[in-house]
Amino acid sequence: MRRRVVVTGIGPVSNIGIGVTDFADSLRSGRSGVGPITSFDTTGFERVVAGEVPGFRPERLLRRLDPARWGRSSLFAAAAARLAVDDAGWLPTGDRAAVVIGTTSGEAVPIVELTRGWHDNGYGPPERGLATTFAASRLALAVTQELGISCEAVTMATACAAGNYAIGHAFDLIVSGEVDVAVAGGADSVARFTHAGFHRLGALAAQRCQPFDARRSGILTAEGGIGLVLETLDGAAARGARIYAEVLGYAMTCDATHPVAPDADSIARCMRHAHKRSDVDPGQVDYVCAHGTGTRTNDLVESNAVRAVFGERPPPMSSIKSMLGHTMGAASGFGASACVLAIHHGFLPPTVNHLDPDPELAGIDPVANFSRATTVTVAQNNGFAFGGNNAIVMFGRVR
Amino acid sequence: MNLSVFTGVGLVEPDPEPTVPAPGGVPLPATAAYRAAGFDPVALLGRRTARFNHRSTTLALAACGGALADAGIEVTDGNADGIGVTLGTTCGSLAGTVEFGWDTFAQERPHQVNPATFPNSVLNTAAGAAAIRFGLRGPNSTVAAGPLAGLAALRHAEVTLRAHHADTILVGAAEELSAPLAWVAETLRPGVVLGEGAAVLVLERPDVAAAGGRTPVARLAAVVSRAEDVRNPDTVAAAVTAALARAEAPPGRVRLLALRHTGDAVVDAAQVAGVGAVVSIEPTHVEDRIGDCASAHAAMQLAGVVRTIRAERWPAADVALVVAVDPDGALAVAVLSGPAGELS
Repeated sequence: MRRRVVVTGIGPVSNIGIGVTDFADSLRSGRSGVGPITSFDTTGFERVVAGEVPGFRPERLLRRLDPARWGRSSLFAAAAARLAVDDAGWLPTGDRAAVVIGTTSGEAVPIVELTRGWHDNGYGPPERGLATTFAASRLALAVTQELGISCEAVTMATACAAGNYAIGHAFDLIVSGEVDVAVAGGADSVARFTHAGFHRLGALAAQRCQPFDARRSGILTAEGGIGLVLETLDGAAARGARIYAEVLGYAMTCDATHPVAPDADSIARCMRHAHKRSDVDPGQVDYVCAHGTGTRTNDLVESNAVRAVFGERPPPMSSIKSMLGHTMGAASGFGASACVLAIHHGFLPPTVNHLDPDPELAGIDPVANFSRATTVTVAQNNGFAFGGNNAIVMFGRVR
Repeated sequence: MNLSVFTGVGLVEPDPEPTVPAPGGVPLPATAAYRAAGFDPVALLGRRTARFNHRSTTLALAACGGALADAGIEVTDGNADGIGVTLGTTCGSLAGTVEFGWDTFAQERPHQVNPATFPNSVLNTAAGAAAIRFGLRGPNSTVAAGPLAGLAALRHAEVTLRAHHADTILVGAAEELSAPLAWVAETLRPGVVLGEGAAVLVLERPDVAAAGGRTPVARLAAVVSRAEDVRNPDTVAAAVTAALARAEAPPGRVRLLALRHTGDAVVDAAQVAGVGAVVSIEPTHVEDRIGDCASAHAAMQLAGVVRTIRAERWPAADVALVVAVDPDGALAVAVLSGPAGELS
């Protein structure tokens, strides 16, 4: 029989809460974590709101890493992993363990500073502190070094679906018997270039992110780190760990059509694969944690795919990006956490800022504005990305 | 023991002699570098593709196309969903990101960037472009692993194949020579002779290769990738021993050992001592032929090894090692062998 994989620890470093208790409370109360950008000079930008984590003090969360030697995204990853293993009550050891961290832009902040230096002063050797911190490969290494373990360490750079890719890859490693426990998640930082890119595409909202709303106007760039501890059901039971939920399976597809525009057929194919690989019928799914970026295109395409797979009455589908903004490579890791908490605590996180239903999205129940107490047995976490990279993870109550 | 097999190789190598940068244009360090000056993305890929994709992407596309052709794979509606891509990288295209972001400082308003080049600043742009160009609808992945990139991608692809997410995966890495990368190298490794290129291998389960009528040219016997203290020779030796054990290959059957200089003296000494404690043959380096190709280096070594195995018709019991070390604290070891007799 296939090894079963469960989630026993959640470590969010987010703008709606640092640590699982605050994060879960915010999901339930529908708290928004966005505000005016402070991490870079926004002079000249027309859009100046983002989901930064102003309360992030890495030195308060980290035990081993020296924050001065690591980029912001690596610090998010390491802090989230530290919180996750503490939450799991797992004493980290590299024996039969793995770390898998997803990201969109890696260490975007040092790369912005490298560019600024060359733009302002002309090309030349950059300062050592930037040259040693810009590599995205350091995100997973920050986690192993913070935890003081030697093990397989993977940084998945599959853009905004990377959190799901990371959880999925960790799941594969555990199911195949390669490892028994893994920390999986994602991290990204609010940065000038990402903000400018989405700004130029006309994809940034002015104040609020309003997924599935008739007047939705785009995303808010955001940041954070998220780690989940995954381990075998048998191992968790043997050590008496609290089990949040089971990872049932996952699937990946690629649109192979356009670098940035999503494709409903490919997303629907990903859902069907995920259901099949998880031995789940669409009718069993109680909740979909949407990719739900809040752009006109994403929410329509995602809704079309959901309606194609589930029919005219799909399960409730909310977007926690309405609260967090779009945390990029961490986004589907936060979505996974929302699914797991929905199952564990019995509630559906809301889509906040929801004012006007969109007639084009008929049949979609976005869990408008207020969380809903209900039993969740099976939850689906959507993650889609530039490059046409889709990954969907299925979670279930342990039976 | 792993059972994935290689059925094709696509390789873009730099020109055989290093050149110093020509005067004019963007200032570069005075160090010579191995440039793929003969690589013509417009001729190979067409004007439109060459215009909107950055050089690291066009290099990757050329290698993917070469690998598919070498394996004799025709992508059809019937097999496209099962063909994936896994590319390794350090941070995507550093030059692509710098060029995209430059306008946030140079333009009157910071958001007056070029929207068409925004994807060049995202780490998975090359893998996504490969999917679009060749119609590959299977799992499309990018792994950021610095000098380990090619081997970390191989490990990810191997796990993905074994979990039956895909039947066939194009796996490899690309690296461009650019002013940003050269200047970063000037700080980290002054005087290093850089190179550029791309290598992509077709990796698939043996049953898939057989069903497609493709003859395996080499076998992936094992690949391990770990975060470790790479300043300790014992750690390196343990990783090599573990990889050979996984491959069920005695150290005496190692016929080829591919290493790369990291530029960190302590790490390089640990690498040589650690590998040498397990394997007694002389290591092979390609830096004097292609320079240091950074993210693409290990993938290009892999491609070279697969070509050697094919050309010399190695038996399944003979193995080659490719070792990559990241001074940030990680190493990877791939063990490749001749194809198993019953499959060749």
